[in-house]
Amino acid sequence: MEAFQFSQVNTVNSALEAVRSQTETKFVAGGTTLIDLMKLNVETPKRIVDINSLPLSQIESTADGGLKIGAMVRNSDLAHDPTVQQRYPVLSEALLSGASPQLRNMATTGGNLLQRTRCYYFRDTAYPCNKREPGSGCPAIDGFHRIHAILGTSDHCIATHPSDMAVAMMALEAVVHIQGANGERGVPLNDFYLLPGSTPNRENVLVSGDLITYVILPPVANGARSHYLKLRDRASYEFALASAAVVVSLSGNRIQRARIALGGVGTKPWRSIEAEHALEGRETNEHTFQAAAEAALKGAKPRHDNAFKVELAKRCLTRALSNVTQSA
Amino acid sequence: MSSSVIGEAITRIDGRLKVTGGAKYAADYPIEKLAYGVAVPSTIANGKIARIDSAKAEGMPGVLAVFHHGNFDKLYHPAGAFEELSRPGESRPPFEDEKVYYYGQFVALVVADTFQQAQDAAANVRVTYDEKAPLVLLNQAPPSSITAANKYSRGDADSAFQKAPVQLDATYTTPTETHNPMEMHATIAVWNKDKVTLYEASQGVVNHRNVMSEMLGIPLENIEVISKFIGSGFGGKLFPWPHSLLAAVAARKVGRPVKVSVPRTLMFTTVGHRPATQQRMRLGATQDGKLVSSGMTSFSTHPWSMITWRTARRCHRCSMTAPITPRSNIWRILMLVHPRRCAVPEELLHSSLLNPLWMSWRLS
Repeated sequence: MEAFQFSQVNTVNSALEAVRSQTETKFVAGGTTLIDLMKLNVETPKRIVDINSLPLSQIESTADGGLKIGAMVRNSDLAHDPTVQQRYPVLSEALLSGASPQLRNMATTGGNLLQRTRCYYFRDTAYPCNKREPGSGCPAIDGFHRIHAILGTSDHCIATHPSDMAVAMMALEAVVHIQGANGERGVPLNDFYLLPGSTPNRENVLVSGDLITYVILPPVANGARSHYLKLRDRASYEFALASAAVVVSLSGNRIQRARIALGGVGTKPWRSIEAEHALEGRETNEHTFQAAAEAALKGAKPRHDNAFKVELAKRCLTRALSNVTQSA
Repeated sequence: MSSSVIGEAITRIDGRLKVTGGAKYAADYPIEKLAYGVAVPSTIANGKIARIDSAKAEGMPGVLAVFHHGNFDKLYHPAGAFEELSRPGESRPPFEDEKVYYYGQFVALVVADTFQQAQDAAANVRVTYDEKAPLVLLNQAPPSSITAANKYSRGDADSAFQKAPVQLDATYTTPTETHNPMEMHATIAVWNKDKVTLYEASQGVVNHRNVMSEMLGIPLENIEVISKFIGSGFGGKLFPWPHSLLAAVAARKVGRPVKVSVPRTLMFTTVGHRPATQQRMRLGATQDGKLVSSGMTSFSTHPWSMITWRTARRCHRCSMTAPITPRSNIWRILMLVHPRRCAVPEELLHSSLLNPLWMSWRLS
């Protein structure tokens, strides 16, 4: 770990002030990603601004029936919030499937959106990495890549986005609110993340000086059901090899509306409009689910070690759809 | 004493001490003037060290020394005879030369006043390598030579298999597995004139002393190895690993007690593992579950494959081979408890519809 300066702030304005025109400065909230990566010398910020005292820990209903989640709301608190459990079970399930209780007690909503990949090569400075050092190369493409992405990859990066929470939020069409040098803006989560392309070092639309302040979940349709299913090498404290967040509204046994996102397979939390089209207006049966799964994985680019993820993700999605449409 | 122990809860003698922090593990001993050694692991799996640039690390606060193959004391290869209770985990002395045999091999050791100083300086030792392509996968190089020593047969296993009404011919692979107990490996070395005390995470203090005597080249009576508790070992702490020698030599050279701990990341690379294996089983049985033929071809990422024969060899007609694989660039192998021997008979049971317990009995 490199030496760094440490400061604490109590207000959003002082937080923005602390990073204004400062390079190599990072906010730290729960620290569950940043501190780990600093210990590995993957992240070497010169200055750390502690935002744990910011007044952004509220979960509030919005006027239209949605939910406003402060950036500092801890994963545990969000997962156990009665409104989340009742109206957005997919989010609660996703959060509780992630990490361990200790990590969830620390990790925050804003921080989790910025969780870094678990790519072995990204986390080991003995290797080149286009995400870490642009232009240095990607050893994962020809190396071991069992955990790597099959959707949204490029010739420069195939690293998987590891978050569970963000996958659920993707299916819930969350909007990220950002306070920056030029005021506040709201960015739909699907636009928040960038594909790696030739700049895998840029993972989202945040620019220097930006701070995530809260996330808005739109209201759920009456009678909508939601569910998160995560498949992994062991039953807890493990990242997804494939996961599915599904939000569906039924009319009888016909799907009126569907929102689908996949985790563990994409370079970003993977919203599948194609799967949604394949579901909407159709009857709830295995044939429909299978068609949605085929549509979701149509563009998959599997490699030697992660080819199994194509089938795994399909089965994950069909099982999640089957679960959510069967439950009363 | 007539009461049964089966089904009764038994209080572990060391249980309370361990859960209350009262049990001292090797790394826990409070030693005066203790200095801390942090090792620099190789980042390649095969090749040579071209250059070690330790100038920056040596100038950092609290740093007492940076050791590597260019400035370390001479150590000796052990006799290594198992029966003589002198078996090391790795027989090559650390820092013997510039050669790198596996990823995570210790290539330098920073010794400093505090652990943090040593860790910081270790991250600033720059090592460059002449790298060669490593051999790390089970099927990367095909196994080749078969000698009398890695072949065994009894009876006509082949024709018995052909005639057997129930046949199983299947290939199984198992991945590399590591011991990784809760307590990581650690050594504190304390010299008093020409005698050394090693506080060691060890499952075998006598063997440890014997190996240290041979490799350090000092008399047995000058070495004391103390291991009062271990935070489990699973076999990984049976034999000495290089960090123990690093601690002993570093302590002698800096003239202070030195502690060298193996961090969790290096627990996967530097202190033994169970190698990956591939085993083709050909079993023939009668409908009532009598095993009439047993054949096995096994190899692993280490030439030690014959150990997998133990169960299969019990059949009267058996044919075993263990082709020799080229030496891989994976760190040292070691036995790990919990042998996996039951999978194949279980599959055979599905074919022959037998009671598993009866089958086990027949195999025995």
